[in-house]
Amino acid sequence: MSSLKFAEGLASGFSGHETRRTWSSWRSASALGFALGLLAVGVNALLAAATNRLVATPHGGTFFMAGIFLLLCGWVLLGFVQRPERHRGADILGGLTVAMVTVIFVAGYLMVLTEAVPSFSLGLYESANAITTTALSGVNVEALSAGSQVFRAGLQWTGGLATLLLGVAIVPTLGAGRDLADRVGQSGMLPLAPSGGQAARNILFIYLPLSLALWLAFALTGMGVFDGLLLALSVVSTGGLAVPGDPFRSGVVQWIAIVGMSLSGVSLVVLWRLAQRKTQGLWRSMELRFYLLGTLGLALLLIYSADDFGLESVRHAAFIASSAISTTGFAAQPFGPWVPLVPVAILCATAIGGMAGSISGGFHLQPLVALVRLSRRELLRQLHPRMVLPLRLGGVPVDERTIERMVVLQFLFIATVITTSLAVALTGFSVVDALGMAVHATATGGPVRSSDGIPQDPASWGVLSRLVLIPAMVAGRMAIFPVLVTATSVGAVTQQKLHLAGRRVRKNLRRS
Amino acid sequence: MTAYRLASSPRWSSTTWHITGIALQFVALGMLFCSFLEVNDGGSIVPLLAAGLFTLAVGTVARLSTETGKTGQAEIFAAVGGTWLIVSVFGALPYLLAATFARPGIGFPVEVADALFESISGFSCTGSTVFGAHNPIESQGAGILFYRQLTQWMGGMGIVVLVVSILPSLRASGLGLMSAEAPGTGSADRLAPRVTDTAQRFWKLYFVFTAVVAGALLFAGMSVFDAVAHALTTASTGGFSTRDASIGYWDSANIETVLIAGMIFGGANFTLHWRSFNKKKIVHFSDPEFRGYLFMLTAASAAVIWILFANGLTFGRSVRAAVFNVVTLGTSTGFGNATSTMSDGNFVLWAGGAQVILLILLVFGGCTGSTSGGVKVLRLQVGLAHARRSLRSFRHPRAVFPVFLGRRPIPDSLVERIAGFMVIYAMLVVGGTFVLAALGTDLLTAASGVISSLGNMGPALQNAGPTASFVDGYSAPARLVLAFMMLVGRLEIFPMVLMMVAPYRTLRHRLPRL
Repeated sequence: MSSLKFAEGLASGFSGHETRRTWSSWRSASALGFALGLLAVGVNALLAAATNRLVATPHGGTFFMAGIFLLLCGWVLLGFVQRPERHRGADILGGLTVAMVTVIFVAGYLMVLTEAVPSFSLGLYESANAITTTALSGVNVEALSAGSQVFRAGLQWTGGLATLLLGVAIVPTLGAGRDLADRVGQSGMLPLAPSGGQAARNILFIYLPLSLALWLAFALTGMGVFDGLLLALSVVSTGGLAVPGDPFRSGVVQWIAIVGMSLSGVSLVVLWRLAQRKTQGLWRSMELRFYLLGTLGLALLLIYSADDFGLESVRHAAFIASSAISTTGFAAQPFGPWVPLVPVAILCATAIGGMAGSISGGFHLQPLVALVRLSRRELLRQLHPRMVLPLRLGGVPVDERTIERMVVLQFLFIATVITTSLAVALTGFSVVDALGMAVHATATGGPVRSSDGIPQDPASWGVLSRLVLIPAMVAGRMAIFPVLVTATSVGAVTQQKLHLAGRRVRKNLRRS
Repeated sequence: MTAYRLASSPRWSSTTWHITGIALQFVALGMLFCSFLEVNDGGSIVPLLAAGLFTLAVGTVARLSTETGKTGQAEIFAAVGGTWLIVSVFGALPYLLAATFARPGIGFPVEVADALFESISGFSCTGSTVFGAHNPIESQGAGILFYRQLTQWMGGMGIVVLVVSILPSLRASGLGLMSAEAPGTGSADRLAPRVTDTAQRFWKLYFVFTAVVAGALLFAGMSVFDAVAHALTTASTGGFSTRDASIGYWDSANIETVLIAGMIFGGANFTLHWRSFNKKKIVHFSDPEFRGYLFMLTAASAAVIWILFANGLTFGRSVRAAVFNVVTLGTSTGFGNATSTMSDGNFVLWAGGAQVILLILLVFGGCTGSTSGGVKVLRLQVGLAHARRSLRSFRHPRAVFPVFLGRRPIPDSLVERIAGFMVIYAMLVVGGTFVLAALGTDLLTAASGVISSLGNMGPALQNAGPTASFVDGYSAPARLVLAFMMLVGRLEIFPMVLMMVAPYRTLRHRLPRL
C-alpha cells in the first residue's frame, strides 16, 4: 500500500497530473493546525530576532534560525496537506487545539534554547501563559533579553487574535450558537461575521488599529517605544504579562491601560458597531450594561473597602477592577485594606470575565445572562409545567440547542475548575490557594491574591503545580468545548481502534 | 366544646394552614414526650411542656378551622414551604423558653436567631449547630437533647409525607405535595397505588430502620439514651449528637462502623430498600444511581486514604479517619469522629487535596428518595451524560442522541429540568457566598458554609469545621442566611423560592380595587 502511494507521488511529480487523494478531515485539520502553530511561533521568533539585532542583545541568532526553520516547515506542510472539500466542525476544533499545543511545545523549547527559562517544563508553563494570555507568569522580566520579551509579548498578541477568531468567526458558525453570531446586518449596519473569511478580516480591522493606538498612547507618555510596545501588546490581548520597570507608577499610563483593558473586555460586535459609528441600540444590550455596571460596582467596592475617596484611590480601584473583569490580571498591589467581600467579588469577576466575543477570558457575561433567564424560566415552569417560553438574548430568540450548550458550558467550566483545584491541592497547596489558582487559570486571568489582596508570586510555586495549570489555561482560553471535543474524539477513535484490534485478535485466536 | 364548635363551624379554605396544623400537632407531641424525659433527668418540665401545649393549641385550631383548598402547583409550593417555615419557627420555642442559648454578652435577638438556627438545622437535617465550647451540648438536659434529635428524625422522612400518610382527603394532591417536599418520592417511586399507603410504607420502613440502628448502637457500646438518640439522627442523615465531640466522644471503631453502615443505608433510595424487602433479595445494584453513589463513596475514601497516608498518618488511622468522614459528608449526615481539635478526624487540618474532595462531596450528597441532601447523585449522572451528549453532537451535528442512565433513556424534559435545577443551585451558591462575605465571612468559610447548608451537610471548612461551632465562623445575620439556605436546600429550592406566589395571587384577588 505504501509503495503504491510512493509511486503515485512519483508519477504525479513527473507527469504533472494531480493524482494524490485528499486527506481525511481530521488528518487534514490536525496537520493544518500543526502547520499554523509552527508558523505562529516562527513569525514571533523572527520578530524577536529582529529586536535582538536592533538592541544588540544575545540569542538573536537562535531566534533567527529557529524562526526560519519553523516558517519553512510550516509552509511546506501547508502545501503538502491535501485538504478535503470541507472540514467537519469537530475536526476544525481539533486542529485549533493541535495548533495551541504545538505553539506551547515549540515556543517552550525555544525559550529554553534562548535561556529565558532554566528548564523545558518551565518553558512549557511560560509559553502556555503567553499564548493563553494568562497572567500567572513566574519569569523575572528584568532578566530577559529584549528579544525574549518581544517573543512573549508577540505570543500573547497571537493568543488574543486566536481567541477572537475562535469566538467570533469559528465556533458560532459550527451549529449551535449560529443565532448569536453577527452574521446578518441590521439597520444599515454591516455584519461582523457574514462568513469566516470576512470575519477574520473585520477582526484584524479592529484588533490591529487598537493595538497600534495603545502603542502610540503608551509611547507618548514617555515610556519609550519598546516598553510601550510590550505594554500595548499585553493590554490589548488581556495577557497581563509584566513589563520591565514599573510603568503603572505613572497615573497617565494607568488610565490608558484602564481604557485599553475595558475595551478589550467589550464584545467585538460592539467595537465593530462603534467603528461604523452606529451606536443606536447598543445601550439596550443587557450584557454591555452588566459589564459596565460590574466594573463600576467592583471599583466602588474597592474604594469603599479602602475608605479612601481621593482621585488616586479611584484610579487604583478602576485599574484593579478593569484588570480583573477583563481577565488581564496585572499584579497591582492593594491600595488599602480589603473587606472579606472584595476577594470574593474579584474571584467572581475574574471567573465571569468580559463580554462574549471579546478578547477577555472567563465564562463570559452572555452565557451568564442566558443562565439567569433560564433560571427564571425554570421557576415559571414549576408553576406552569406546560408553558412554552422561548429565551431571548439581545432581542433575538435563542435556539434550544444553544441554550443547552451554554448550560453544558457552565457545567464543564465548573468541572474544569474543580478538577484543577484538586490537582493543584494534591501538589501541596491549601484549598483557598488551589481554588484561586484554578479559577484564574481557567479564566486566563490573574493574579492569585491572598485574602488581604497581596498578589502571590508564581515563581514561588513548584514546577508540578505550574504544570497542572496548563490544561486549565488551554481549555479556558479555547472556551472549554474545543479541547474537550478533541479529547473525546481522540478517546472515541482510540476506543474504536482498540475494539477493532481486540476483534482481530479474538478472530485470530479462534482460527488458531 | 370549643373544639366541637370549631369543627362544625364554616371552615377557611387553606391547604397550607390545614397541613401546618397537623404538622404542628405532631411536633407538639414530640415536645410533650421530651418534657417527661426532662423531668426524669431532673430538669424543669415547664419549657417543653409550655411549648408543647402552645404548639398543640395552635396546631389544633389551625387544623379544625381550615380545610384543604386549591391544590394547584403554586398552592402546593406554598403549603410545603409554609409548613416547613412555620414548623421550624414553632420548633424554636423549647430552646427559647429553656433559655438554651442565653449567655452573658448576647442580646435577645441573637438568642432568637440561635434558637431558629438550631431548630431549622434540626428539621432540615443539616446538623450544623450553635452549641460549642462556649455553650456545651452536655450542659443541656435529656429532654432538650432528645427533642433536638427528634426534630431531625421528623424532618428526615418529611413532615409533609407524615401528614399525607394520615390525610386521605389530599388524594391526588398528596403525590404533588410529596414530590414537592422530596422530588425522589414522585410517581415513579410509588410503593403502593394509593399515595397515603405509599407515605405510610415510607414511614414504616423508616421506623424499622431507626430501630435496627438503635439496637446495633446499643450492642456496640452506647447507652440506651445515646443509642436511640443517635439512631434518630442516623436514619435521617441529620448528624446531631448528644455530645460536643460528636461520635469522637466514644472513640470507638465499632460504633463508627455501625454508623457508617447506617449512613450508607440512609443515603440510598428508600424505594430500593422497600423493593428489596418485598422481593426478599437485594435489588440495589441494578439501580445505576445506587452504583454511582457507592462508586463515589469508595473512590473518595480511597483517594483520601492515600492522601492522609502520604502525609504521614498510619494506614489504619488513615482508613478510619477517611472512611468515616467521607461517608458522613457524602451522605450529608455530618457526624464527626474528631476526639480533639488536633486529632485525625478534624478534617480542617487535612491536606488541601483531601479537603477539596470533601468539598466536592458536600455538593453532591446521596441518592434521590433518600433522607440525605445535596444535589443528588442522579442529577450528577444526568448532568455528565448531558455534557457527553453535547460533546458528541459536535462530532455528529445531525445525529440525535438520547441521554441514558444505565439502560434507561431519560426524557429530554427531565434532562432540561435537571439542568435548570443545577443552574439555579450554582447561582444560589455564588449568591449566598456573596451575601455571607458581605456580612464579614472569609471566602472559604462562606462558600463551604453555603454549600453545606444548601446540601444539608452540617460541618463546613475553615472556621466552621467538625470541632467548631457555627457561632465561631459566622455572625448572627449570617447564621440566619444559612438557616434559610438550609430550608431551601432541604426542599430542593422550588417550594421555598415559590411559596409566596399563591398567597400573593390570593391577596391580589381579594384586595378591593381602589
